Amino acid sequence: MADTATISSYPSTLPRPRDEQAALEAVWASPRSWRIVTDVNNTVIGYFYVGTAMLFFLLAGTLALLIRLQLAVPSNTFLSQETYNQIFTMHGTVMMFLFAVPVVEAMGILLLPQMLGARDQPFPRLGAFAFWAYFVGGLVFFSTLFFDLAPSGGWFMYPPLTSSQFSPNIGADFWLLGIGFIEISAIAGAIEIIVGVLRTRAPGMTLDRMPMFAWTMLIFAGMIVFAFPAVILATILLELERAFGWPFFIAAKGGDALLWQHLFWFFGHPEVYIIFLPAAGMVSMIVPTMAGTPLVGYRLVVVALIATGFFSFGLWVHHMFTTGIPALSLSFFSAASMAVSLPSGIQVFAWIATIASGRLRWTTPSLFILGFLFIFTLGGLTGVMVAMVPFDWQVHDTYFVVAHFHYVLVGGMVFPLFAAFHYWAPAFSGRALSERLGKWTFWLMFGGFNIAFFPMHLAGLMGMPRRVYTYPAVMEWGVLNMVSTMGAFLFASGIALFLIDLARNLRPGGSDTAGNIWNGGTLEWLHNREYGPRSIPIVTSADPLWEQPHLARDVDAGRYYLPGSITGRRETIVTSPIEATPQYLLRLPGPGWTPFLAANFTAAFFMLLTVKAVTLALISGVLAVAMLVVWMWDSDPKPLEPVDIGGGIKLTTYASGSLSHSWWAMIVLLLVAGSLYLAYVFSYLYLWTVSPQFWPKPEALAPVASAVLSAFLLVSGSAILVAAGRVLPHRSRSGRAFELLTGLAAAILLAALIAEVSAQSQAGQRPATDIHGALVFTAAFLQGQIALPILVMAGFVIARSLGGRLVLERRVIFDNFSLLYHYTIGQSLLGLLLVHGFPRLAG
Amino acid sequence: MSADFKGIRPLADLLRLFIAPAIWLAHLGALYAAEALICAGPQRGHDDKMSWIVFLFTVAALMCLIILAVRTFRPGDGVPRSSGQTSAWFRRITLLLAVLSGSGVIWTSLPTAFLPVCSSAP
Repeated sequence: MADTATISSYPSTLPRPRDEQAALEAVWASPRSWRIVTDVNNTVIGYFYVGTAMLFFLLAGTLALLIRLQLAVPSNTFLSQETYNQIFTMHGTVMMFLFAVPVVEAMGILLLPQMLGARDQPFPRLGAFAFWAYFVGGLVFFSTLFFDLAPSGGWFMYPPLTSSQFSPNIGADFWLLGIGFIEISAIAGAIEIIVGVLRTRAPGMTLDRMPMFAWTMLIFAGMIVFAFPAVILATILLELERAFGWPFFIAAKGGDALLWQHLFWFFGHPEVYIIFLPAAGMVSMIVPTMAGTPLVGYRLVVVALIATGFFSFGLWVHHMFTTGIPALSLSFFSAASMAVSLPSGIQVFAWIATIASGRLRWTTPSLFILGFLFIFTLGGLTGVMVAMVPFDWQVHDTYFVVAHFHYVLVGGMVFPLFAAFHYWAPAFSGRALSERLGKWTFWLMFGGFNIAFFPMHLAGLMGMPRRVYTYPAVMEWGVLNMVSTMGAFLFASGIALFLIDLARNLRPGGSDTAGNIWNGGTLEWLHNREYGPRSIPIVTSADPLWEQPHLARDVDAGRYYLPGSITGRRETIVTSPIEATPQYLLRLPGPGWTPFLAANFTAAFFMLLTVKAVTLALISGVLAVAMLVVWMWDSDPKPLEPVDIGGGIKLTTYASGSLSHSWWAMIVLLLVAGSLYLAYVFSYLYLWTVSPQFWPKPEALAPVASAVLSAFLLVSGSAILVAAGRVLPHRSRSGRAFELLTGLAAAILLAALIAEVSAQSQAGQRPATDIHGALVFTAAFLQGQIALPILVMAGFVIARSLGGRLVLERRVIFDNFSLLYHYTIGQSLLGLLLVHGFPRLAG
Repeated sequence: MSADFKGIRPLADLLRLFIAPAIWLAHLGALYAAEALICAGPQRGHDDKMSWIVFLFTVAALMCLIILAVRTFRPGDGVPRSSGQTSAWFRRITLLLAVLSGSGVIWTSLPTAFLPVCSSAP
């Protein structure tokens, strides 16, 4: 598409049919009253998502105030030690897992389609599922506090403190299963965001014209894909140890508590940047508007984002400087920790240069941005200090570190977020937030924050340790803590004022918004309704509203692409990932109960498992899968004839292979699975370096023949599935051979798994005996947890073929199944090589 | 429509952007793994071995980055076959990332010059 002639002929000046807009509105109308929970549209889900994340911010903030009350004076008895431990654990956990990551994901779900000129996210029901899973799981998790069942081992949950020996109650299990489950929801959101950013941009919005917020969300989601699996594996391992005695972290049986720290911080350090980068993206959107000039160094900022994304994965050991790792290794990570300040610095200088090259308006968002720059830079500087190994030894586990990471997290994320709320409110609400109240909010938060957290640097340097529930009346700790407590309440009063402002002025959901009051240059400032813009424009620059005169008027008059609903359903245009060339018309699903119910049943499965109600948990699990099957039955709709989206562009309504948006989602999912498995491979090799004496001699291992048999089965399974793809029937022919081969491939995968487990059992390996046995059976466990969905999917593929919904011309479901299947075969072969080959090599 | 897009490999072209920082990460991971494995065995006389490993890994990483950087100067190669502007933009980004990652590679390998292998922290 989009040759010069086409672009110059647009916008069209022909009159639009009279009922076109009414029909579009009818297709996108939200269900009324309580049925709103069935809606899947990104604006509705986005409001719910942001609102829920803010609820958790308030809840965890309240916990922070309780912490500060307890620490206000020495030897305080306001909270007991155990209650205090539960409260600080929940404060950290809720802030990190239920507020910080979800709120930026929520802002992405809400803002991205508008910003990119799409009608919705590419998988609306997945977004709805992710939200409801988070909502239900999060609330249940938080309510454990009221029953004295909350975890109390710190937000990082280090074993052996969190092992069943030292934390026998189920608080830790709530953390492991609850948070593990909520991470799955975060990954679902990340897949949605990656595919949304890459495949649903407005025509002409090439990657070098993409809004910076979309760039940051792309990197953010990519980092989730690689970082979260590490902590998911860690939670699986610790739960297996707690529930079944597999000794991953028990030194006497060859385990190592430090493995948890490696896995946790391989997630935990990127997590900081996962939180920070989207906030930086918001800053990169707000600063140009407030300064009235394009972002200085757009290209360098993209470079900085990509580099930060990667560098942040090389820093995890700097949380472990005091664990006895050899000095040279520490120095590698110390150097890497300093290196990451380069790309971070590039971004900060780009913002300062933009402010300097324009004329900054003194609005509430500007104030929050300046507050962010001040606080975040201070946090960055103390970050460079703790990156120095000797300095870190002095302040490790003291309040200096508490001060440092609050400066980075609150400065780097909360202040930009509040800037964003004030900045984008007019795009979604009938009224903007009050400038007068906003400025009061800012000064209360800014003053309160610094009064609360600056003294903690000093308390830390004086030696006050973290996580203590009280302290003796020595030195100046008492004064500093009292000042911190007063600052915390001042900060909270700023938040309270913000809530009053929201209650007075926020009017979301209507189709008449306050509009582009700041004169922003990007597409979210078009007149957006539930379905985004009336028509989808061609974008020819990074700030289209500044560069393309009359764009807003022409878009709103329906003079660009897709001004109505062509197929009578919700639709959006899928474009190519780099150049945003229109490729096909994606028909989107409308409201439905399945995502809501599937999320509830999934949450019930995990939570019931925690309280050991196994039967009920299994029933919930089966119901959750049933809901997913019902949900998927209507997906992959039948190809229609090519349609005209306007401007003489005809698009197909169906795409398979790498053209299909769902192919991209599956690839991202495979990256998640691959990361999880690599984390396992790392754990295996790491534990071998710690306890090689627990690895059996080659003659005591399961025989090589068993591994060869399993490998043969696996390879033949792959070959059979390839053959199934070859006999995929045309519309009119019978699919008997296809169904048979697909079923056979699934059965063979299962057979290979059973063969491996029985060979290991016969060789005398037991998972609870020692670390080698535990690792061998973990490989089988990981295999099983992917084989199970494959069996369900194979049944689904066969059912669709029997129902005439899977034929050569409509094959995306099979293609995605094949991708997962072949990946699983690859993973299994790697597992066999590791489990059977490595001990022979090392022995 | 689809005929127009056969020449473009969107995933491969996109992933190309990430090669340079991935080399940095792989280099760091290799140094860390090398020390962990060397120190897991009997600990004597490993300083030379480690120095050589660091030297070889660093040279290999820098060579890869240089090749990547040089390829960005060859039009039509190593970048998406797309419109001129986006293509030039991709080339610059790749080049800048190679430079940044190169300095990262050198910086993170420097400690080997100053610290003994396998020595525990005091």
